[in-house]
Amino acid sequence: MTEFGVVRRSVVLPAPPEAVWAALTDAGHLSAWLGGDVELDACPGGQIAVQEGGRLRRGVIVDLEPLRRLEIRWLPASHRLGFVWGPDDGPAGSAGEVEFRLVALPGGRTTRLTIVERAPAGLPRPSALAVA
Amino acid sequence: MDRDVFEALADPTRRAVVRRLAEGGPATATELAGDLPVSRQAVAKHLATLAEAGLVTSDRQGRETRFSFTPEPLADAVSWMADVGRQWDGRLKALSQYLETGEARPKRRKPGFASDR
Repeated sequence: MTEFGVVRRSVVLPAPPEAVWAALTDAGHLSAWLGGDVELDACPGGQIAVQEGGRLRRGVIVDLEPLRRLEIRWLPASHRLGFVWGPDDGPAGSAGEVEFRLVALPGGRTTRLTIVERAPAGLPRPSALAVA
Repeated sequence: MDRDVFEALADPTRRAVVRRLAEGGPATATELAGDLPVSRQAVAKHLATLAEAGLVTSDRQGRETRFSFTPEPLADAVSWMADVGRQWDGRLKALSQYLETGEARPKRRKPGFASDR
């Protein structure tokens, strides 16, 4: 059964876990494939800022297990004081969590990546959900 | 709407209450307790939680309070899941292509946004 409030995706990527991990934790790689600007400090407690499609999100790396697991908690808007907000930067996506799990597949040339995004508490209204 | 819709609907009894109200229309806590295998007291507690999430509204007429299902927050929740899912489909496709070809995705920025930094 689909878990309500949880979005889950699982894909097989054409690269070994080392390359997938780099794509997820290196700011240069992240910026390149996301088509946005990403800054991050890839360590537990490190901060992450993602500008994607004109929207800015800030988060904290809650947990990190190299080549296996990365968990980010998005910060609610109230934690972003002193930050310049983009035009679309509403409460959408400003809280909630996303988890990345990597599993090396036999042969070593591919990786299964599972992402799990959990809804923020107190869901944003649809008007705030406009996808850029 | 203070309480999370997802949290409110995580409980099977609350889902049963919602289903009963959606199918059978407005009802009192006593009527709901008669239809479901739970006590009136438990129903009242679940109704309060559902009301906090905006999924139920109450209408008091004399000594009787009738509860109705209000689906709007549910639509918000479903559209959150659909939107976030769509975003991930796009991102994972881009990631897969990047790992395959090493080619970066064009930046998607709104005019004037860069100057905001």
